[in-house]
Amino acid sequence: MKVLLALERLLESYPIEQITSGRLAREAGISRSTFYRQYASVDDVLVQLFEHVITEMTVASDGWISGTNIHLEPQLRGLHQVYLNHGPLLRAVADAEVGELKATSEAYTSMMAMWDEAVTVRIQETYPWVKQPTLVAHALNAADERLMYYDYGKGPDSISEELFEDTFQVMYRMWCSALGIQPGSEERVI
Amino acid sequence: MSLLSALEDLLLSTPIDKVTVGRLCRQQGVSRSTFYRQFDSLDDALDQLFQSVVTEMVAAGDSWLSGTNLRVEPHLRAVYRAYLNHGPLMRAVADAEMGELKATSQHYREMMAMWDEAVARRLSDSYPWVDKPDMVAHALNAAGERIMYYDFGGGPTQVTDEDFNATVQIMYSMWCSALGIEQGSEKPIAQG
Repeated sequence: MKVLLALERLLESYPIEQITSGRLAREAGISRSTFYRQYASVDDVLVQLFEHVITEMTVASDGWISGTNIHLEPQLRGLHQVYLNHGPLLRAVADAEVGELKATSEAYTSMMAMWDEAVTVRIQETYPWVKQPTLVAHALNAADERLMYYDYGKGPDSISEELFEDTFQVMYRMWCSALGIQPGSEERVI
Repeated sequence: MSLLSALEDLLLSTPIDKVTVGRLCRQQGVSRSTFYRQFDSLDDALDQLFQSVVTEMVAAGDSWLSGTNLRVEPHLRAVYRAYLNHGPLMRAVADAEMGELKATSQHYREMMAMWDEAVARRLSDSYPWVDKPDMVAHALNAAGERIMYYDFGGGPTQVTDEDFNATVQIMYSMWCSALGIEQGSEKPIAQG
């Protein structure tokens, strides 16, 4: 855990390509050999940290994804908030798509695919009037992904609560129009 | 074939982090000094290719962006088509945000900022009922950017016309809802 937290701290000030295992070990206050007894590489640490954040994101939106609570607004906001709290980390993970961080890059790609699939199922079951649910899910996720990357990538200190709320509302309205529901009441628009 | 076209071709089969000046030159049967007479670096060559695609995309969207023809659909389609035609290149450029391709990466960010600004201006002028035009423009562009990256990154041979049309249609309906206009007629929907 010490190493995971150290990596997330370093990512607030340095791009991922400048973080070496030596630097990370120093920040965590351990020796390189201790580091290598616990982790195979920086990639390995990054991917474990990322798994934690995926868990947080899943928890934030689980009711909606699983269909037990289909009130979209608080859960989409929860998801945005988790991304913002881990902005620099998630930016590093998204950037890992190119370069040497193979495990992280694979984990990111499969996370996006899993997310597309989960949202598709929810749309089919709860919003059956939506045409081409697979494509709609994919487009909404791609939109969210990129917008959060741009606006939240520098972490919670870089954005005011008001700006966060505005950003979130723009996306929330986009989700509502795509799902054919009224923002607020979330009743179907006829 | 020019070195620029050869680079774009190479990107069809090779991710950008595996492309080197040596490899490009070997494939074209020219010396490295021939390359370096024309370009400072791989970054420079990639950036020049990118600039020409930006010019194509701007030309495709120009009459909507400038307000001389306010039909969203054909312009959106044309911009998407330009991206698709250069999918692997555009994917490489987007990936350049990380790594050593500093000029390309910087111009990519500038291009996205320019696009946000142009769309925001069009929304304020032509769709004045849209609340927070800056943020709406930014969100629509981010959405388009990422979906094109995913769906068109393989280039035109990997995408059927049907898939292309489906992607355009989804994004078009997203644009229409965000702009408060009806799909097809593009007339404003009465606000209430």
